[in-house]
Amino acid sequence: MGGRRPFPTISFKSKTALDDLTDERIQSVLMRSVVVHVLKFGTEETEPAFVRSVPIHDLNTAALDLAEPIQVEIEHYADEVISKVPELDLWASEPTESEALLSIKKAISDLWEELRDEPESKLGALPRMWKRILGKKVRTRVPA
Amino acid sequence: MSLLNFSKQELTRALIEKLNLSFRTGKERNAWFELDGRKILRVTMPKGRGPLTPGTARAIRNQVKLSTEEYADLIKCGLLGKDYEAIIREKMQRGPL
Repeated sequence: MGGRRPFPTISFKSKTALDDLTDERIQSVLMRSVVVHVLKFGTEETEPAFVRSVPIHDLNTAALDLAEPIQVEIEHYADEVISKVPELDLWASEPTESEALLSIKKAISDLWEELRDEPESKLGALPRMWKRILGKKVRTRVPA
Repeated sequence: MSLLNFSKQELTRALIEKLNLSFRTGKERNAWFELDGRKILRVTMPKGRGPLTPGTARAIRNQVKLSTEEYADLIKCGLLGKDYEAIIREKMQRGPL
């Protein structure tokens, strides 16, 4: 039998994701990636890679305790972790999240120690507000 | 102008000299900016030396209540102590501070 072999055919039974892409869709995806790129590299400051919020329940000191939790924002950057209490204008920078949490606890107790006995007449509007907030949240620990 | 073009020492020097910050003790990293005998803002100095990291730069800019441009000017010498005082007094009159 010297007949020629039929030309091989390949049948695609399953569609790929690319088959569903219209020109408009491709354009929109491209435009979105351009916008993301501009936002990422065009801003003056580098944004944190990851942000979360955690409550703290203790100040890690023998003298002070928390009457109610304080919300702390955690920002993860490439080389540092920032913990913040935005309402009190407090921040701390450490290499790890747990260290950043410990540092912000110290920052909170330091601020309270500075404001506790300060007369309101010596404070501007912001520190007066911080004192009011901390007055509600921080209490002296009762020895066991 | 990026905030990250400065070192921690440059930032610390500008803040201390121009804002005339008062520290409670020599080891203290927190200082008060005072106006008319009243404590207005509290600033936390960065730890250590070397380039400013993004999170630290953002956090301090927020504490001193300046825009990115004003903050860069403060460190570069363009914005003087009296200019900073005028910005803060204006914010106090408007209400935010």
